[in-house]
Amino acid sequence: MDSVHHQVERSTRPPRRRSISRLRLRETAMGLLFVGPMLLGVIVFLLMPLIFSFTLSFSNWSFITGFDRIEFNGLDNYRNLLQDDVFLKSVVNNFVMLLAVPIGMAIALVLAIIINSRVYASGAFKVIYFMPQISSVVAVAVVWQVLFHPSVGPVNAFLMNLGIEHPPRWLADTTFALPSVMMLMIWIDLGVALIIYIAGLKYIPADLYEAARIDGASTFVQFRSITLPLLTPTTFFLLITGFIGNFKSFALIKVLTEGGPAHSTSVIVYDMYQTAFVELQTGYASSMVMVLFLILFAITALQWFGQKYWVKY
Amino acid sequence: MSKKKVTVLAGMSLLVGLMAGCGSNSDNGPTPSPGNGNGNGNGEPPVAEVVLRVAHWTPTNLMAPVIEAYEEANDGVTIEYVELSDNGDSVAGMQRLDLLMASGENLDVVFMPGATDYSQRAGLGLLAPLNELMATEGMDLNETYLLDPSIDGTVFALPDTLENYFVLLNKDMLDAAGLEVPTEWSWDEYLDYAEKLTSGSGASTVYGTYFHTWPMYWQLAQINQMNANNLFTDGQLNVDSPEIRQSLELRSKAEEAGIATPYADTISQKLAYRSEFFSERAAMIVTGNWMIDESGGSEQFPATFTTAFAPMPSNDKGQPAGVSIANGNFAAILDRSSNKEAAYDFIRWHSTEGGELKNVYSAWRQQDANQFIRGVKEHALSPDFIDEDSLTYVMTHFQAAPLNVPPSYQSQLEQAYTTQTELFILGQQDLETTISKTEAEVRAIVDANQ
Repeated sequence: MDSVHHQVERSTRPPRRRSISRLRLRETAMGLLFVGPMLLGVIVFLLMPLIFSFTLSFSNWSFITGFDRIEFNGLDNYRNLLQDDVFLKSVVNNFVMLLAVPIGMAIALVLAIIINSRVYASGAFKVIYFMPQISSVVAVAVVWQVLFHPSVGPVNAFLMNLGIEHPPRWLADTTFALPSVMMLMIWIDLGVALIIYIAGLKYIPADLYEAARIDGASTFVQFRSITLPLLTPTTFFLLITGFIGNFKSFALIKVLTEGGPAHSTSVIVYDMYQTAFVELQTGYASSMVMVLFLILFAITALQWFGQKYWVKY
Repeated sequence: MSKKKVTVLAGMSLLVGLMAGCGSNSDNGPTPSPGNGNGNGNGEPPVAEVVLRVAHWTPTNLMAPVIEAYEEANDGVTIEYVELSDNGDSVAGMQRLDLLMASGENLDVVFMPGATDYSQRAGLGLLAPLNELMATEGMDLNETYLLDPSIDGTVFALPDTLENYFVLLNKDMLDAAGLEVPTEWSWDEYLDYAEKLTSGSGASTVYGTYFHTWPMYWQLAQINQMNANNLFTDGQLNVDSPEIRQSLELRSKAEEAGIATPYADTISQKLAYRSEFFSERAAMIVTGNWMIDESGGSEQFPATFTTAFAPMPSNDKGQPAGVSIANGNFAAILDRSSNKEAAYDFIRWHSTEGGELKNVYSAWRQQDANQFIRGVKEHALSPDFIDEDSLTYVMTHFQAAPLNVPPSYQSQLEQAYTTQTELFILGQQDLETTISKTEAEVRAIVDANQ
């Protein structure tokens, strides 16, 4: 209000441009003052570490030695990454693990529709499905660890009673460890997707369904032509955040499998942790982070540009 | 340039701050010492005041009497103790130590729980060479200590304790199976014992033995050798060797016969050797002498049966039992310490008389094994559960192989090896593939670090 008033008052004066620029300046200064604290936080906590680790990725350095021992070695780290079997395996595992996101979202969508329209005490179900999300990852992992005990756990005891002689060894099996971890991820993240899908469903106007019903559309057609398209913004949001979260998953893998057996559940972030804090090769670990950053950036960009073909606002 | 340095430093300290914030108890270390031992400022104080900052993973309450004793005997020396772990966990302690070093903490003396940790940090140039200080004192390393921690002629640490390996047995189970406590035995006989000690089924199975996940449990027939007893020693790879073959066969035989805790259970349930042994789920474990104290029971694992001791098995009948690589804790001075002389005096004392005071088995040649055993019994919660005869036999018939300080990249070698052994024990590849793939990977790591 005040600034508008100023503008009107001074608009008759000849050096009009100057007054506007002064005004702009004031507004810019004000604006900066408001975003200042946040900007400072972003610079100090995000931008500087980012630049720092980018620089480190071209060096051979260990974070426990002083800066005088930093040795720059150009692109050596990146060249080594291409020949590092463990790292390449981790990248592949990361991409396989991405499957958990769409599968989890599909389950969440089905559950959301059921809970939204066909169930009494839907609040209770929302709480139940949200429980794993608010429980400690460590506690959840320990419970699953016992359930999946390879020789005497309830899951395998059940399978053996069904007559399967050699049930999978789950977390201790090079083939089944990754799917086991993915199963757990889906289960943990189900609650978030579910809540957001329910919110998305509430946003769809009821008269659309009514009109469809009058036109004689079946429930499936209604789902395909109304629910799915109108949920695409929600799906898009969940897909992006899900992919990013999935790519950065660390805690679950650390407590559940420590990347094993034989690196079958190792992911980039876990490999990076191992390299940086156990083998103390900070420079090399930084180059892994940069690759992770690039992959995430590429996936997000791809989704962002791809959205115009399938997301309907 | 200085501005750049400041930004970089600020960024780094923030990173470290963030990481420290993630750790549970980042604020229980003492505050930085005011003025690090500069008693030469004004006037002439009778004794130079020195503040030594010492870091170890032993909880403060256990370390306090040792520190008090040293301060009493040495006027003017104050020790500030930095506790690296509140429960004595040396692995967590090393991680905390690394964070402290990264944040520029002023430490003088640091302890490390094994040769791999020692070699890694010496290789990074963090530790001060002690040769000059030793020459000034006129101390001959090999006459004083049983271990020689020198790396290419330079000594970066003094051996603080001596670890050798042997077998712990549940004597009650031995008696029930009618077995003697062995004094001379080979790995074949070990498996024989394991078979006879296995009983029960399902969730209540008692296995004859438990092998932990550490790399040394994949090298059991190698670490009982006098020479060439690691993956890479004296510029030579020892992967494609009869010892490694025997180590792997030993493991797979035990696994297939069902007389050792299945490896899948071990990794998926993250089993711990203490609970497996003391909860009587495994009758024998290969372990080192930090477990002697605990065989009399600890608060977490009270002793409920008699524990007997047997020497490290040999690879074949006729070879002597009781040979094992020696390892231990190492006491070093940080290169950036400004009180190197005082720090040296402290680690000399701690690795000799201090060890007696703490009743740890030190690498000091003058220590008395019998007094150590008496000390163990005195301190034990339930001394009657320690089988003294077999303990004395093991302690007096032990042959330590000369210490081979592993290369600074040992943890990478071990990682490469254990990955292949996991595939082997889980039945994904045969012995020959395991050996040839390990050989190739280990060689690549060695070449990359030359």
